Amino acid sequence: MRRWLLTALLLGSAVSAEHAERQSGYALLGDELRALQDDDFANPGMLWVDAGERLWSQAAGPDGRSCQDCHGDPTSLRGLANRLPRFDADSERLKNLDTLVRNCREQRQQAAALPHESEDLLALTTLIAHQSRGLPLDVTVDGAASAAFEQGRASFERRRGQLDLSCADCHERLQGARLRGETISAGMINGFPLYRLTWEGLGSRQRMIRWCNEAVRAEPMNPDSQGALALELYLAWRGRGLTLETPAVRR
Amino acid sequence: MKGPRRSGLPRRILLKGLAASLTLLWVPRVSADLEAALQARFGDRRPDPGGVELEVSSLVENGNSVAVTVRADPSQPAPAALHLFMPRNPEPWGGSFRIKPPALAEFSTRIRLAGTQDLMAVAEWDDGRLAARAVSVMVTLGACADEIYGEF
Amino acid sequence: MSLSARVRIPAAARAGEVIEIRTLVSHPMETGFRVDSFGRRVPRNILTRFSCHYAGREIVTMDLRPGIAANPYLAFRFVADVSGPVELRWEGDQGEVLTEGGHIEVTGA
Repeated sequence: MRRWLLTALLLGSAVSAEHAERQSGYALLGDELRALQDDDFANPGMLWVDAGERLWSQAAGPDGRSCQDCHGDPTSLRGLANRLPRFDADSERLKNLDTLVRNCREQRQQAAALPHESEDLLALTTLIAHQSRGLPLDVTVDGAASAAFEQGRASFERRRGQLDLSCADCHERLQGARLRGETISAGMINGFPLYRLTWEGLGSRQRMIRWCNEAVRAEPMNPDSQGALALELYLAWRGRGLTLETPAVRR
Repeated sequence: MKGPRRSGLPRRILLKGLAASLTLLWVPRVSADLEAALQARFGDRRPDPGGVELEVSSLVENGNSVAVTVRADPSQPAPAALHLFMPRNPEPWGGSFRIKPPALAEFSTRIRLAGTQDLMAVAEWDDGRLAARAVSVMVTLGACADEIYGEF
Repeated sequence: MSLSARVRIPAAARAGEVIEIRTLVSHPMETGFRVDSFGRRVPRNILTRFSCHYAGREIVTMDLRPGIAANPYLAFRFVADVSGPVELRWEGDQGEVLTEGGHIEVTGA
């Protein structure tokens, strides 16, 4: 049934690539959307960068501390987002950009938590990731991170949901094939947080993972779970060397 | 495992469908919805062809945000307003841009298109004259089922 | 996200020069045609009107409808003829008002 569905959906497409090319989703955009991403004024994701800048210096919590008070200018965090998620040896947990910002907010500022995908969290993560625009994805997957990395790889290969598809089925084995009016992407995450026209707004890597899971009718992953972060680590490693595009624009 | 059948439809039905779709191409472009929208804005006045330029891609990747530029024909006196109509949207009237000197009769924006349709720009002059240009825009469908709920 | 705008207004121009104003506003432009996961209609929440005053004159207005994309973008051009302020104003369904502005210094008039 699964194969029938796939074949039916992929009518006549040439499917050859056994292994995915490391190709940014940017390569699949038409001229209009490329121009939109490249336009630092009109790229709607820049609204979140602006909002992040306003929040950056805004005091929060009982001590009235802002991000600025500890970190200085946002540019001091250039080179952070392209190396995430990373394995934190002390807590023995994977941490992504959302984890770090949420932890700072709750533990250091002792301010109200920033919910996942909330505008304020996206504003700060987009501002921070934007500082690393142009830097290559470069995550550490050996040493203490190796177990999580293998967990992420296994997750990528595991079939899931009512459609019984794995990430690899589409984004590796069928990458480049046509599906309705679209070319199946390599599943790269170098543009996040990004402005997706389907969402008419910004979303994180974990929102996209959740969206994909829902698309194959699988149970969504908790964005804080080590399983979800392990998958994010594996995805970041698959895209190693691709440059960060935050805020990218996708369809 | 069986391969996909190219089609389960008998050939005769296919040919009939083809003939029907060719017929549709010759149906006048003003749909009932567009007609109602034009009536609401302009009463019994209707635009003549030409007199306004409409720049938009003929094939767009997502109907949620489509770049358009509307510009009055520079060889004619400047109109007082430029209007946009998207006949197949739930609300066909897209917006109206009014200009007074020294503003130029030209604007760029991003619109929503609920599917493939003939986008129409209308220029309106102070004396009541109207001119219009329509451009066919095909909206392609994304790979996976679109998200239904906005929450996540 | 809270209502805010990015605007690009040239600070200086030569008399007679055609200049461009670009604007991008954070706004959901909720159409009023969608339903939520419980089948309830999501109420319309759009920006309905934009205006631009230049040197005290209203030179551009726009009626915005639900067919304008989320986070609306608008760019337009005019001839710089006198020095003066540029005042941009958006109004929305919820009574919200956003203003942005600048000043154009025109030389050689």
